[in-house]
Amino acid sequence: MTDKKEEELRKIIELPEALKRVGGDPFAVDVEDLLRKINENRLKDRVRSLKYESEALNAVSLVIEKQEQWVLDALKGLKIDPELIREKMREMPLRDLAMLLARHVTPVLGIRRLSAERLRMAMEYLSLTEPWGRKPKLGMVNKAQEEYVQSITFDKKFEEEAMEFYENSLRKELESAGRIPYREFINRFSERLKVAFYIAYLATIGMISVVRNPLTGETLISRPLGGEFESVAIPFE
Amino acid sequence: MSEEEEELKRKALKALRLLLIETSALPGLKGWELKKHLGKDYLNVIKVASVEADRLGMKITIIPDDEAPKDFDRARFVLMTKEPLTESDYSRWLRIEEIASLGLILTEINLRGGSAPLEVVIRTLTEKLPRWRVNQIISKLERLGYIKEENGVLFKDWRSIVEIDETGFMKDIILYRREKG
Repeated sequence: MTDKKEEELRKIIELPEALKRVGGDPFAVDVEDLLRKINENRLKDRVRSLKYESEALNAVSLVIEKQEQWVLDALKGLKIDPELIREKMREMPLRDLAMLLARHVTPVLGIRRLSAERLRMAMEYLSLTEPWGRKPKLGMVNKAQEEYVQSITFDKKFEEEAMEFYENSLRKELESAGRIPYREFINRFSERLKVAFYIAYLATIGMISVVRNPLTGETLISRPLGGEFESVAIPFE
Repeated sequence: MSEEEEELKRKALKALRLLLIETSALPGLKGWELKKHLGKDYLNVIKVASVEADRLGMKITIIPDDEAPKDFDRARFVLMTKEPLTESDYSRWLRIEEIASLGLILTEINLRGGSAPLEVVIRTLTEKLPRWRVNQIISKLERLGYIKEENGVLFKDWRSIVEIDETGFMKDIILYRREKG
């Protein structure tokens, strides 16, 4: 009886080598059945049983590894036209592309320490700066607006809202019209200040450009432009 | 718990602390550095530390050295999250356009068999972003160790290899359908 059990386990142990020799589809092996057999064929001698079981389990893991490799090879073998993928990515909105990648990222973790030297520099810097309360006010912004501005937190939610705004309200129009008058566009919305912030943010990250016609003084929103750029204040009424 | 086991666990927790706190520009520690702090049997300590890390939703990954891939002393040991990023996490990683650019670059490198001319990558990215921003993003991704540039050619760097499941990413690109509406 024990010999028969040993024989069964030995067959499992030799399986990866046999697969290597003969080749073929590793999915022809029923892994669940192998695990059941290992469970059923435990030997009376505990030490011998553990030895055989561990070797058999190792063999099963090698079979699974072969199955994974087989899938990868099959994927690589698929003839996917690179141009098709490039075209797909060209059409894909940046946000969708970012989300697809983020789903497959497991980041490396680390905590940065502040060195003594950096700490000394920070203290020197702080001793030179004015406290917050003494900072001059921006001016030109009335109290209600100021409170509104303070309520907009530039967190991820804001970034996402801005991207969503770009996708839903700006992208198509920019694609068809090329340039949109800034003031006219902003006035279409009830939350004008918020939209102004979206525009400023989108221009900062390069999704759009805001240009001023030097002859008419009109401010326009356009598709991203290259070249030199500068930070300008746009009066808000 | 025996004295030996307790000592091993103490060292394992020390290993986690060492791996978490960055002491150089790169995260984690080299094998020889761990040996210095944890002793000769540092690989056993790392095994125990892996179990502890697993309980906290983390894992320890070994990045082999390019020149000596089988030498653990020269390999880099880093601590990583076990699960991929969720939508609320990615903000603390990179900005949307930076993540998207990394995706575009890695795809171009993959489609070209492991390297892509910098010029071609810049041309592809400028279809979606202004040139000045493209330059900024490429520099940042280089600095963070996602890509490296040699004589005008871009390659994947250690962080892309370790952090990104490219097979899954490519599969998702192939299966991608834009939502209408």
